[in-house]
Amino acid sequence: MTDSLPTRSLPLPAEAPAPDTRVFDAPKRDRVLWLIGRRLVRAILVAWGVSLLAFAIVRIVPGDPVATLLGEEATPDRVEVLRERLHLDGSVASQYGSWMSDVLRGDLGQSLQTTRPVLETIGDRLPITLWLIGLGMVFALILAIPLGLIGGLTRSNWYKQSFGLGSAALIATPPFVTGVLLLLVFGVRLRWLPVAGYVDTFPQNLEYLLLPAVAVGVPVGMIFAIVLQESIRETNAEEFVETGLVWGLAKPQFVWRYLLRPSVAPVIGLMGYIVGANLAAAVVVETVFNLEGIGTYLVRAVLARDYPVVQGTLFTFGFIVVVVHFLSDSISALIDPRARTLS
Amino acid sequence: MTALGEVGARSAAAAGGLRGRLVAGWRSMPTGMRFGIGIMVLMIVLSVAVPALSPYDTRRGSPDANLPPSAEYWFGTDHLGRDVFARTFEAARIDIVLAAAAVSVPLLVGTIVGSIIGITRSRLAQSAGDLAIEVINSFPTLIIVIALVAAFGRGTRGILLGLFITAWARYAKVARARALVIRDMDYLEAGRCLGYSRARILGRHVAPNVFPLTLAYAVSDFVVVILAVAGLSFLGAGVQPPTPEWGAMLNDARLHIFRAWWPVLFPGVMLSITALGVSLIAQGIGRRASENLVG
Repeated sequence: MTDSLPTRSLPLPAEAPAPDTRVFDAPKRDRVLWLIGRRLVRAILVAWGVSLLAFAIVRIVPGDPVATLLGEEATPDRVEVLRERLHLDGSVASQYGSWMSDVLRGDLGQSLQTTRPVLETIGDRLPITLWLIGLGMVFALILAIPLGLIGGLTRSNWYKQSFGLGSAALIATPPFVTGVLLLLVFGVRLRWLPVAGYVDTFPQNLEYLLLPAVAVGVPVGMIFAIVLQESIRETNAEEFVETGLVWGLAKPQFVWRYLLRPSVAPVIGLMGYIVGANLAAAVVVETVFNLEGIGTYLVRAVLARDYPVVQGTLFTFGFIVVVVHFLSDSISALIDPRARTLS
Repeated sequence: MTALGEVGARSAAAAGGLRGRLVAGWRSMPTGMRFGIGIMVLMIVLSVAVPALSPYDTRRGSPDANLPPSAEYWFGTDHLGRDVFARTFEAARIDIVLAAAAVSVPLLVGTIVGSIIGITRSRLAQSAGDLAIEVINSFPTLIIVIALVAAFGRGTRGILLGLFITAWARYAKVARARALVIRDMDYLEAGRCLGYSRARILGRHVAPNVFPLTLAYAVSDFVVVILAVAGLSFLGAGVQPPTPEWGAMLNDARLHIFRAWWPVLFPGVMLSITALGVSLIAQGIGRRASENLVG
């Protein structure tokens, strides 16, 4: 449907293909597929780079990491065992080879503290983090859609000014400050919600996740709202919006297909960045509310220098971001033809 | 009002001199930017003046633990009996200086590396550079820096090294895009025809055209970095107690949240006010840059 709408020329990076100026394109599934294929290759390359970086973490430790970890308890046997477990024996290439083949087989090593497989612990803890991020995202959208629509359509200068200042203030407040302040007001003063802890079953866990999700969702929601508002303003100025108006389409249909749907693409295109910001927020917010997700797992491992855990969680975080980035790029190319010309 | 202001600005500029230009610049700024500059000037003045004038020791405790705000202790005292007011503003100095250091080095490195990647004709170097930038940028700042802290050890040195190693990639991305545009400009071609060395073209012709953009980006990046420094210290990876730092103070105080709310509230609010001030300045710069592009 939107495939037959006129494409608009965008400021293009130097290597991008020339914008298509024909007014009525035939549906171009192959071109979209080709684009998605290219992005997939790119995503695989970046994922490989992410693995290199996670691999490098132990190797940039100043001095000998094994000596640092063992300290005075170092005996030749123990040094040898630890060296092997951290993949520090042999040449760097063979170290990377053995580490990577383990990773590809799903073996991220074992924790130095508990000797539990890292992947197993991540599997246990990931659901909490995903719940937190998912709820945060829902909360962000609940904030962003009305704010973005109002901001995009209003002509009130007063609203624009106060929204500008308010959103800047909320983005400038990091999630751990929001989290601690929410804890103070709703947990300690009003005693409406629990200050820490978690229950694993579905409706009950919401009680524990509500405050953390708000802390994660507020800044993200403001960023969403700003992008959506800009995008709606731009879309509103397009000719096809006028055409829709002239055709006299029913209001809900008009708002969705001509206003919201073309404006949503930039928000979806931002998803990779947003999920990254959400993961970073989850790391601190889990600490604030003592939630046993992968954020607290990473932080504890960093403070104890538990390298396999740090490498494993870093790889997991990077991998999630790369996958989401790829998906969001592909989806925005599918739903908005204007996004396809951007390389 | 605005018309009057503009006339005033022009006459002040006509009066000439540095003062005239400063006054004219101030008057042509959007309100938000003036507000942001006001916040930052106030914060910097207080961060120097308060610890110098305060009668209280900011590191050592006293018997007056967990006292609420009063005429004697304006922001109350924490669980060790230290004055929260003096500590909050000493923390302001530490956070602002740390963030400034963590922004300036990557700004320079990123501008140069990004310019090189942008103007190079070698496809291999360009692809490798692009990949490195994309890989580093695919991690959120806080997560990649805390992972590097595992390697370098916690503390100020660890987070600064972590930020240096990662933050250049964001500047390089901005610089690369700009350098790619000016790569084919006539004046670079002219420089090449005159037989100037690559280093000279890079240093004298490319970098000066890229730097204003990365510098403007640095102001908005300052917000990210100061929040990262505080966040890392909150997690225990950054500035270590008893040194006053907003994130570390908040982490200390949240364990005593049932007894005292003031050591939680004030450092947190000051952190967000500072970040807001800088982002208002960044917004003003951004708006002016986009106006210049249009005009």
